[in-house]
Amino acid sequence: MNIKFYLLQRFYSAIIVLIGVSILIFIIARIIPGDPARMALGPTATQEMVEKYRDKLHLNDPIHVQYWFFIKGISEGDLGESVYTKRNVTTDVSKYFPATLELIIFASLIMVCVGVPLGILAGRFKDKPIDNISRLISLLGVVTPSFVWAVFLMIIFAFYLDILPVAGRLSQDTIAPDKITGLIIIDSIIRGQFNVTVDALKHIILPALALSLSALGQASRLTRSNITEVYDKQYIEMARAYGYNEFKIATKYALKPAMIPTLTILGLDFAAMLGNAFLVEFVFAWPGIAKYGVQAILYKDLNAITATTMIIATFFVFTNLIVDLIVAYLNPKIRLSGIQ
Amino acid sequence: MRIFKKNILAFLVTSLLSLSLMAGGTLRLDEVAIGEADPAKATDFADGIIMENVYDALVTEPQGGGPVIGKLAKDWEVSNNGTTITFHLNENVKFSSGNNMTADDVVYSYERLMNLKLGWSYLFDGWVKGIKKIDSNKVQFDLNEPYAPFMSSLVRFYIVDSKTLKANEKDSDWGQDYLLANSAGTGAYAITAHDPNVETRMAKNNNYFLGISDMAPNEVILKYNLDAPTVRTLISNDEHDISSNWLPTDVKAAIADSGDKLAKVVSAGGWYFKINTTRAPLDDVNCRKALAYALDYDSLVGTFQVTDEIAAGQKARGPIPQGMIGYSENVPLVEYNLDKARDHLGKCKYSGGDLKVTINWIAEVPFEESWALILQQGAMAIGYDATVETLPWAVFSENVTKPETTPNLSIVAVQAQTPDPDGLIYNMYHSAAAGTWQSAEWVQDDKIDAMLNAGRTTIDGQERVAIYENFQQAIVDMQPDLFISDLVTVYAMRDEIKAPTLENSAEYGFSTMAQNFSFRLMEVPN
Repeated sequence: MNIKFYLLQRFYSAIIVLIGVSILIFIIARIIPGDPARMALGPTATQEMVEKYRDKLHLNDPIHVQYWFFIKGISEGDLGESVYTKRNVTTDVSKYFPATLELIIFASLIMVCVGVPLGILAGRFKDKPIDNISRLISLLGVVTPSFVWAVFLMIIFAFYLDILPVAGRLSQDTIAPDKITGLIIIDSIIRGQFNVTVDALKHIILPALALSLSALGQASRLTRSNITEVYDKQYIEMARAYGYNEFKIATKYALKPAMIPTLTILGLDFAAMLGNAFLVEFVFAWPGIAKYGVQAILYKDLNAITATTMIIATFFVFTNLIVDLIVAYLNPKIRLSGIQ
Repeated sequence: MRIFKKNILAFLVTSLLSLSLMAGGTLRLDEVAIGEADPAKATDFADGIIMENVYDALVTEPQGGGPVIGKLAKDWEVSNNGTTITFHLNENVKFSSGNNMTADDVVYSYERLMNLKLGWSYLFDGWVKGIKKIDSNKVQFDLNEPYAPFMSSLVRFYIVDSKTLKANEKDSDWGQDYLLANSAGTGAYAITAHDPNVETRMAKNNNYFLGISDMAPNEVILKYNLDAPTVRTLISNDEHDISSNWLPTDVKAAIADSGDKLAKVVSAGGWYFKINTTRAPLDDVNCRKALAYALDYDSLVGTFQVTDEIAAGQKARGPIPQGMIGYSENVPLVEYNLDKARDHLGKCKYSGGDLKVTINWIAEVPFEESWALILQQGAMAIGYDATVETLPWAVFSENVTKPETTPNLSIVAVQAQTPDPDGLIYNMYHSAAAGTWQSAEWVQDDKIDAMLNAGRTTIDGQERVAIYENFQQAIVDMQPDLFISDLVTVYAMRDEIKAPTLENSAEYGFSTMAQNFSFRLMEVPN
């Protein structure tokens, strides 16, 4: 009963936030300089053609009327026409969002599977060589922007060693499996096309690594800091006094309380990757929504800007909701105090 | 017998292998997005590449330049008053669907273009009174008045398969939805997959009516928005064949150093410092002339150098580039001369603190910054207070719609859309075309308008040449631009690729934008 109430409360807040974001981005997109109709039609279009196109996009209507058309469109699953690709934005989003989702899932797996254990080791063996190496790797990850990692990894693994591909989701002769989820790796496994799975994995390694390294460094540092703090607690000393082995102490008594703040940050990083992936997508020619969103801004593609921002915002809000639920499960104090 | 059979088998296997090696492979190239696949909406370079290969027009520019020749039309007749042109179509030309191309398709294509009123429709808008089918292989255009650029403009009028588009129309959309992912042309290639923001794939049409070499690529993959390090890596790994022109100079040089090659194409267009002639102090011609003489052209040319042999630019005499009607060697090259610059500045009505100018470069084109800085240096040497600023393209496009917000100077490249000078200069200098990124000069001059109008309505070839040569001189005298360079594009290519239209454009190339990317004229080993 309490969990349901907590869920409803958070869901309600999420909706309010998304409505607010939609209004904000709707207004901001229309303040950005540039006439989207002129940008779409080019310099040789007559003023008559431009005005006709502006009418089609409802740009001459008052802003609240434009917002009404926007909401009406969303309710019908129609995000409008992209002046950039000349296709329905829904079509663009359905093509590009799964690509970025697949990328950030893999990047997050690397972030969690490498960053967290690295932080645990560093915290457990504080001030030992492994701690120093871990901190160096973390620092390099945090201070280096993802696009620098992208170019660096490309130079090493693709240019000099030529062992990994550098562009796109699949090789030119590999046909993508029929769409189920849009995540090529998952779809190819479901369809039993394992050669496609291998090809897709080869293509995702470098961009996922480049995208994950910054968040991996952060996850590692945070985990190390939390583990160190927890290991100073008296119940850990008590557990040692009881004779429990170090592995049991680390996984049962230290990890759970140490992971609570780390989980929140991991969730934020996971959601943030959706928007931050654009430079990695540019470098690796990854056909994702982040790159599409940036191009939409440069071309003042109002429908695409609004749709992309709303998707990222929705993803952010619901990812944090899930993270909060997990944290509440781990720590009943948070759940109960939230309800009170 | 066994040995004989073995030898036969070996011979057959070797022959088949040799044959497969003689067949074209896959050509991979990149361009800036988006790639528009609808011939009624195409305007840009990537669009032009698709159009050149997937669709055909009634006429085309011949290789090496010159007046247009027939393509889908085998010949035509022009009435004495120049207002009726009757085209005789080539027979037995088929679309990729297998349907025959007839006059019905030409009429439909024109009606489609003018109903949608997008893309290159402006070339015909207001000039063509009507089009009618005479018989299944004859079609007639009626013009409102003689229009000299009409035949050249027809290179941008692509014929679509009316039967296929009508069968796939949705809500009277003229087949727009269908052409988002398919093609309906007679071209040497047909689209097999299309994402305007990612890549377009085209497959060879072995039944192309003009014939197609076995060594022409069997498949073409045109990718969009590849980053420079990505292209560099792909070419070095033999995973990419031709780069776009936008690859940075040093990356092109590195590719050339590593054993691949560069192809230089002189295109019909130019790079300009566009001067807003309505804003002080550059509303005074002497102030503009002063800047023209203060620009260090040799330093500019130095920035074009890619390798010792190849430069991505050449000095320009005026708005009409070398090789185009109206270009005149008699128009003197303006040279860097600070004394002359100061002389002109002395005659300008502005002086001292009034000599403030902003030089804008486009944020998405980083190499423009060095040109802006070279001009700034020269301007400040003669007494201008010159600042360099960058503007994103969207902001610049918005600012140039009003004279008061158009920058003093902005760096823009303009390329002719057709093989006629009108396709380049009308949209830059006619007062009716002011207010776009092509016409940031805001030239509002009756004499210039009269010349441009005369160029359109004068049918006699030699008279047109004289008009445009006088126009070239008039523009140089008025100095609404500083002429940076004729438009020279340099492409990095894998050494194994043969593309005579790119590698020897003077002899085999075309001046029409993107037409040099005619894939059927290329050879790509398997």
